[in-house]
Amino acid sequence: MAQLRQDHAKFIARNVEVIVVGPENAQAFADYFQRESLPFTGLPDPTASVLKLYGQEVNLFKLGRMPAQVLIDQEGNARFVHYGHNMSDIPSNEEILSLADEINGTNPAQA
Amino acid sequence: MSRVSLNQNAPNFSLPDYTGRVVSLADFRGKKNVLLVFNRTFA
Repeated sequence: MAQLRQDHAKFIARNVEVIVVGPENAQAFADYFQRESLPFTGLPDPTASVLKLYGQEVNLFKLGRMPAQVLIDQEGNARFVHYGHNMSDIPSNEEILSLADEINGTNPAQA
Repeated sequence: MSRVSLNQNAPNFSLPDYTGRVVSLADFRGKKNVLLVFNRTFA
């Protein structure tokens, strides 16, 4: 989460809204987001509704167990999906940012 | 491990954020890219 926060301006520059979905309730989200000064949208999902939705529709059966990231373009299409193999297995910001450049049709070298 | 077919439509969802504001994936259509981060836990 700190890794994402560090490059938040770069995500904004690429017109990427970061939405964090987790099993905690709203209070836990509020506490954590305030403590860590996280600028993202935080979606408490204690019933795992989004998790189940994505798990059912895109067969992410392990989604509930490991971190995962899905990059969705402005047309609503999934353009990148990363499944963590363990709790610390998350893609680098550079990887996601360069994909955002690709989606936006911009040259990463100029961004 | 199974992988999603890229370029398929991501399922829409609608859920209140921790401040109570309802957030739908569809709200961003035509406006913004979205990075959906499924977080296991804050611990």
